[in-house]
Amino acid sequence: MTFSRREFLKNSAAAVALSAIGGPALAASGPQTAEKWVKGVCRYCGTGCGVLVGVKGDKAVEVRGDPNNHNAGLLCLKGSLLIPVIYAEDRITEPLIRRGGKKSPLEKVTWDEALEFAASRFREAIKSKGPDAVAYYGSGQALTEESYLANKIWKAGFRTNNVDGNPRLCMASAVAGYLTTFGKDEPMGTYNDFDSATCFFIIGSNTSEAHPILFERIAKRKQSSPEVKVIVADPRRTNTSRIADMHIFFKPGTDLALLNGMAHVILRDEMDNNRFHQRYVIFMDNEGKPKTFEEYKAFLADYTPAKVQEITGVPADTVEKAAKIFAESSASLSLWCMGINQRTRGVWANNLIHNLHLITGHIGKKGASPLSLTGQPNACGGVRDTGSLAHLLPAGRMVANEQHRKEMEKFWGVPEGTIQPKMGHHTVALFEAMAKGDVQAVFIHCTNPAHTLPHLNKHTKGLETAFVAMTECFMDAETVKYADVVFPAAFWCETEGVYGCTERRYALTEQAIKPMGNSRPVVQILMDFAQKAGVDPKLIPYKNAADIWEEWRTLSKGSPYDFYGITRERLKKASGIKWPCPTEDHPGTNLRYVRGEDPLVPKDHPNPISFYGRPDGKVVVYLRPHQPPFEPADADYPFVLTTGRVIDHWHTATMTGKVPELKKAYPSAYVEINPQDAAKLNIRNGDQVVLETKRDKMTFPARVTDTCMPGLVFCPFFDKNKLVNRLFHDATDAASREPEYKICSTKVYKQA
Amino acid sequence: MAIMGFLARCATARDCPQVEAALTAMPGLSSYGIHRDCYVVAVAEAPSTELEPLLQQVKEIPGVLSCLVTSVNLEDEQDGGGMP
Amino acid sequence: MGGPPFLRPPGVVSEEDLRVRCISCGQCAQVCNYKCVRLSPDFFLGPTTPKIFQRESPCFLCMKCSAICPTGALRDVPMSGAGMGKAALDKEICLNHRRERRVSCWTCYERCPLKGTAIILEKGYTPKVMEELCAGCGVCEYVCPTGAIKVTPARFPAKKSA
Repeated sequence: MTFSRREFLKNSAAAVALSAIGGPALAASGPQTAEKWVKGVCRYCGTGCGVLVGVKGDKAVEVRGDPNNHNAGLLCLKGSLLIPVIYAEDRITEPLIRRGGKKSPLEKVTWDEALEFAASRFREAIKSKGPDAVAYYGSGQALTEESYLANKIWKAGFRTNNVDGNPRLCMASAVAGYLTTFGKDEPMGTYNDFDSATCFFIIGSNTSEAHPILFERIAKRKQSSPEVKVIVADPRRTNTSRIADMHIFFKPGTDLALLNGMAHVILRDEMDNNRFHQRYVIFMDNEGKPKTFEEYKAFLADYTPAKVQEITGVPADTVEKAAKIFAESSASLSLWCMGINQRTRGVWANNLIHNLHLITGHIGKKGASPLSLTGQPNACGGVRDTGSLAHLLPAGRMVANEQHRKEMEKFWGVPEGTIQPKMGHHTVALFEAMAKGDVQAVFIHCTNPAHTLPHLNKHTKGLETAFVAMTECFMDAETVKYADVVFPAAFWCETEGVYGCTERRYALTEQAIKPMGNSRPVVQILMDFAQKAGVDPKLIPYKNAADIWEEWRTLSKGSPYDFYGITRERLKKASGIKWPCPTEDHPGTNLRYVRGEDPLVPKDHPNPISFYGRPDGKVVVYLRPHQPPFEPADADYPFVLTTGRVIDHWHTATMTGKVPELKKAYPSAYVEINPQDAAKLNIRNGDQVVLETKRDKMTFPARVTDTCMPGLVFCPFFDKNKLVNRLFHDATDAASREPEYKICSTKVYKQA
Repeated sequence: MAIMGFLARCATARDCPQVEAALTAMPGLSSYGIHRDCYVVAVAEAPSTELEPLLQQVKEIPGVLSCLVTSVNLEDEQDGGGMP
Repeated sequence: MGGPPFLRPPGVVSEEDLRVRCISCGQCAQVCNYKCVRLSPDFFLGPTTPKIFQRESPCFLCMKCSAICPTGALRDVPMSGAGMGKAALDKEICLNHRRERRVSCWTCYERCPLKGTAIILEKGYTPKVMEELCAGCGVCEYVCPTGAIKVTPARFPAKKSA
């Protein structure tokens, strides 16, 4: 037999074998192995896990956790599956414009044409109505360099303070909470505190689904010692509660009463730290008038456990027990997120959490801290710290403060009087102004307002009326429907830039691969656009993101946000550095405000803690009374509707929706309903249920589960086919202007 | 020399590469790849009298659950020819 | 081998009894909220019986099919008594158990319709199947990103977790 015939017969034998098991899918030789690894930060939540992106040739092939960052190489499923998102089929890779108005189709054009098309409309708007006719709506997912640059372009270049962003919808209350209590924004602890805490007080946060890696750290801490206690306060018994020693169900919108109630018990039973609050704390009421400690105690007489039970539905002895555990643990750590922030009394709720720490002295030591969890990966570093909101200027400065404006004008080299003294439009007001025609042209970057604004039916009018130029990577983003110009942005590791996460850690994502197609880094898009729109080129002389970082770093020198020591070179070597970090040899700060830990506190300072954000170092305990939410349940609309997140989707799922494993787990929206309520309404798992609010009505399949307390229903908001925000009102917190996404009233009934 | 096509069913996905390596180390055996359902697709060349003992040896490789023979070609031996 | 894996709908009797009782009326498939119950022949020219192909479309235990079956081929039972099979988790493949993979995943726990009972998280973060409580609906098999958890249908002898 000839050799070739033999080979033929062997191949046939193999083919027969293969066909017996339904070939021909021969397994790939395993994941493509990377040739080099590039350091970065995960694209998703505010946990800010470090990642390593594996690159083979010119393609990104794998994402792994960075073992040197705080997450010790661990990633949640979303982060580990980022590769399919980069190579999604609907990536926008060419500039697009609607030549003939909102009803005309998007057509591909050159960069020059797209930039000029947008810039000319901005020039016209400014010419006809002045600088306030244009605006910028940014994002807590934009890179720090992008936000800093946009802030400068709009406030000093176009000379309008209409600069706002989606952190207004998520962290604004936390910002105002820190500012009113401590004088400066940003938490004082870090994730290291998780490993020393003996009491975790988690309120208004579903950490297990929203910050899974942090949740695992809490779970591990709980395993390590029986004295570690976890208290979860939430109207929903979420997955976070599975490790809780105590779950506190309270009626939605009664969190203020609960927190005051805990404070009442702490003072009544003398579990407070007298020495601490006598030295560091002053008391103030809602009008800002100073009060004494005795007056504070008298104020809390309205919040006895029995009275709190009436308001919140929480049994009196639960309030007692929670207060006792919080006060008497050796180190208590509070964690909160949207449940506290997205409320019309969000700032007050933040203050009351700080109150608990300030009266017990659970602050400024390892494991003890009020730590606000940030939702987005760069709300802290990019927007809050750079002052890219309508009332702020960089590094903790305020638009309304003349001295601050002069400082920025001097630093930026623009004439005095360039920056406007009045605050610009906050988000809800911005979209109202767009609908009215006061703001004629807006630049939207890295966010999806057509999906995420509250009271969508009202605010999409703004997107329909104003000229919208936006950057976007994915064609299926709802906002693209309203865009007049779409600039294709380089996505995540296709460009380099810094993210600043929850724990004050600034970390660099280095460029791993080239931008896809004709997309460009956003700092380049912003500069090209600004120049064409008439901004002085001397204001924006940067060659790349690193130049912008240099300027921002220099600006921070000497301020309470001092990170002058965090150079680009250090960022390339380290897996993030925590500010304050004033010099290049400083390793970064764990405990802010603490002598010996925080470099901004003089080593010979008389007290162990220096709250240098406030005059004479005294922080404020506020006397904030309970107030109900904007739209509680009533006779006609007897249920409370709340929205939130699921573990496998990020926000509007324009990214996670591209990953089959994640889409499979959560393909579409549903409504969670308590079995008691379901029985009364004759609703079974999978039945179509109508939610009807004063704004709109929508149908969802039911998931009958005991997660929500009776009277409460929950919908996730990731599904673009079920824009839940149509059902919600847009009432905001009077101080932070953050909308109350967590509570509105609704009818619930089975679809006929 | 007979030519026999067969499938070696592995216990878990992790065993497949080791089984494949052990198989190909045996004289006269070649692998045509690993199927995602944990099968090694293999072909053996041996005198027909040796086929059974050879299969027995394959079954004894750690990680192999079973062997499924799908075809045997005895042309060679019937022709009276030997190994080329 | 041979055809994609399938489960019988909730409340199913034994295979022998099913052959006797099932009259292929199709009401179970019609009433299914999730369109996952499908009628197909058991073998060439064989009787058409209801099946759930859990890797394409699993059962979420709405229990409407078992309530409506006119002949008792599917008995009207509660969610936890669905008796469709038992899930088994392969620790060799499960991301969470392979700690060296460094990926934190508890998707099966998240989506199990018998929330927090049939699948629990040991230590708060490691999935484990509680066999006695598992209804065998197949949702975990459907959502698992690595194929680590699979349901052995009730009609086969049980397989222990690896």
